Amino acid sequence: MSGFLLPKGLPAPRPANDGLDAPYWEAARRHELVAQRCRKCRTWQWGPEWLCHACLSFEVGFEPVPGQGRIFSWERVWHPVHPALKTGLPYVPVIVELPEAGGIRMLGVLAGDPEAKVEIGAAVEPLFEDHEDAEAPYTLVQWRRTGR
Amino acid sequence: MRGRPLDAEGYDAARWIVEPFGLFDCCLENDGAAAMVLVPAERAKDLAQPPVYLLGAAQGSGYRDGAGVQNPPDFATSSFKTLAPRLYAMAGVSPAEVDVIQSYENFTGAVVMSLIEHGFCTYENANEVLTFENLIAPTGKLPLNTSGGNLAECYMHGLELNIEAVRQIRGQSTSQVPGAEVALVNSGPMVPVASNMIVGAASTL
Repeated sequence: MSGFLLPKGLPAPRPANDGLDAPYWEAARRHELVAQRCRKCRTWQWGPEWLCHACLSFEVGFEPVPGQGRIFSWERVWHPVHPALKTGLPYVPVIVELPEAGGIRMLGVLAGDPEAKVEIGAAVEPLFEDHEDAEAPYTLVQWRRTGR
Repeated sequence: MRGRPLDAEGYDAARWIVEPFGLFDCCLENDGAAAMVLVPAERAKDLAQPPVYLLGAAQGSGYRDGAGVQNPPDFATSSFKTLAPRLYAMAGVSPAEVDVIQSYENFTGAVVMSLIEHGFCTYENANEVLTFENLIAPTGKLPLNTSGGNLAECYMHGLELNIEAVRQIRGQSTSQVPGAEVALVNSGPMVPVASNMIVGAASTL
């Protein structure tokens, strides 16, 4: 066991070459969840874009995401779409809605028994998964139920 | 899938790929090639095959349908809500006038949403309308994917569905809908941008 939600051997995520999403990955290393927010009209958006989709301002920054998330949708993966996944099935990717951040949605894997019932609307919080032994250490944001 | 008939028990017994989609909810994988030849209608009259006429075509998606990381405002859509009205207006036909449908199946769930968004049924009556008896040729009221489509003929990225629509209007399908004059094709559901097309026989001009 790797101690992570998915087996070892998957390609490491890298910030995009254009630097647009770098603040997200840097914050994740600090175990902080951030998302993009317009400095002018205060609209949240995810994933990162060069301008605000609501007011078209270029003045978009990253801010800590307040509050909990809620499971918006889910799926349970049984087919190994990568050779490294053959030993890690099934797993449950979730789309998490963040009601206090404008209802933006983020992706991740849900911690816990992957064959347990998943309830739409269940409260979740980020689970920061540090991959320290990677060539360039990185942190993945996964999700776990809060029970609240 | 020729020679490999699938019944409800076989469908239910198939392994999961990604819940809620089992093996037979997912399109085939294969190599192949397909093409369509479009020429001016005047010229088509002189060619060997009966002409089939393009009555309308549309391409696009809804507002922010392409927003990243599953963030489109309208999440559960096949992306045809804005396209279907444009297609029908251009073609000058209504859903009730469509004789046969070819609906792109990357995954089966998308087909149900595509049919609803093209006005063939509603979320409320989908279970009553989308039955085997209704969807089968030649006797159904709403014959669907008569060549087998991406699930059972071949995965030509939907081009085989366009070709089957042409065969239906020419009367050359192996699952022919008697007297088919108007065929609707839709492609690329759930992935912006989507597209659709209506073709018809000379009698529809």
